[in-house]
Amino acid sequence: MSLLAVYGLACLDALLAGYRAAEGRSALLDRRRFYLGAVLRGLAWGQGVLVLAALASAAAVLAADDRAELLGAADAFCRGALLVYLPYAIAIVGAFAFRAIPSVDIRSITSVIVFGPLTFARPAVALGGLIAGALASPEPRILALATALVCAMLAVELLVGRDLERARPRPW
Amino acid sequence: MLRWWRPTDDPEITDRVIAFDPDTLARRPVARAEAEADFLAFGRRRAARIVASMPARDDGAIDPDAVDRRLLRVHVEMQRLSEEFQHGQRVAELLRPLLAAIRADDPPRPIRVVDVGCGLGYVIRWLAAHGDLGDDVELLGADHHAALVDEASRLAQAERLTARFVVASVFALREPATVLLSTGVLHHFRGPDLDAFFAQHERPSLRAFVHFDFQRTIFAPPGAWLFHATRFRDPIGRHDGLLSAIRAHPNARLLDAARAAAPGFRSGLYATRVWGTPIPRVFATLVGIRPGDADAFRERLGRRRGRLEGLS
Repeated sequence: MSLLAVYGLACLDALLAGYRAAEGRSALLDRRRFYLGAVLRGLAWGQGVLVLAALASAAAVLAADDRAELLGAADAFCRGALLVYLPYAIAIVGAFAFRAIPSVDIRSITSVIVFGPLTFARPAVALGGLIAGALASPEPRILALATALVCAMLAVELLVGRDLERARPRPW
Repeated sequence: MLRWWRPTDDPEITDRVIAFDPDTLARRPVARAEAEADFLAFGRRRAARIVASMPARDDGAIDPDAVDRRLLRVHVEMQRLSEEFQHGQRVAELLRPLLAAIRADDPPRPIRVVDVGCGLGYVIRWLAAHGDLGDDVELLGADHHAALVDEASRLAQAERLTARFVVASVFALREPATVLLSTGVLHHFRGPDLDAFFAQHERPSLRAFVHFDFQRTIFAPPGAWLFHATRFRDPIGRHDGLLSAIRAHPNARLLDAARAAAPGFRSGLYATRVWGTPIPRVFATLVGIRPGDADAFRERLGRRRGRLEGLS
């Protein structure tokens, strides 16, 4: 269950990474198609990263003598990491809900209070989740895999940005 | 970091890497070494490094095409911030009652709304697409920088918007403005230049002005740093965004300058605080309107009239 929750949050993160990568690259007013493409690219890169992580995890489990213990440790690690990642995700999704209110002030406030600071804090939150996971389950193999996964997830925005730069050269 | 709260007249990179002839608006070459030395003299090493990294021609002048490309990127990123903070909606909310007040005594048509220093014309394009200002309103953006104006025109055409953009000094337009707008422009006028800017508002055709700029508060520099660090990829935008907040004029200075240099208008501030709390808004909005239109404007603001301070 905790593994599924982490997977869901990673997908959401990849999707939003695609959106962020697209921002500030086109000055047209209507950019829905552009954003949709970027979000799908983010999701695709995220799936790629997650599939690799799943394969690496499967290999680690198959190679282990203590498979049941390793799976238990992974579950405990994910539960620890979720203590950090889940509140962060709830704050972001909650802010999107507030942003749906058609008020200039409320929308601006969501940026000032939530979207700006939490975008800034994202790498620290990613690290915080790793630390919380390691505290819950100090298993070196799990920590190594989780660290690789977090680094790859942090790179998704850059990868989508690179794709967009190549796919849609600017007119200037 | 203490430097963030110390008022300064130090130039922004975008002020220094581009120059225009004040009469013809023709581009003037900018010596890269001189610009770099200027920033070093101001103690702005980061700005000096950014300038030093810009391509130069054989004569040592910064490559104007490279500057254009760079500034276009920076302006697209600026638009991202304007959109995030709902700037188009913010301008429209204020313009609608302002135009209604002006229309009350049947002014000459079209009512021309001109954005001074329009850049990529985001505000004008947004108003054309969503502003719902009325068929008698003409939307025009003016800027000295031809590359930005060309791109603004291209974007407007691409989205079939009825807005025009011209390379011009706004006070030299053949078709004079009825309402002047600007965003993030006032802090570029330092010292007496600010008073001179307002003095040029004193022309019969101009009925009102609305100037948005960073509001100088203790929160502005760290806020500007955070948002420019997270939302801008180009180091020029990050540097200038923070410096813009530091260079913002105090509200009192803006009001004093507008009232003294443009006495034919009633000038005031609009919505400096969030919902009547002590929490300051990001932008200060300076509004000026002819005395004959002031009461109608207040009335048309409706429940928002409490946001208006001064207007005297």
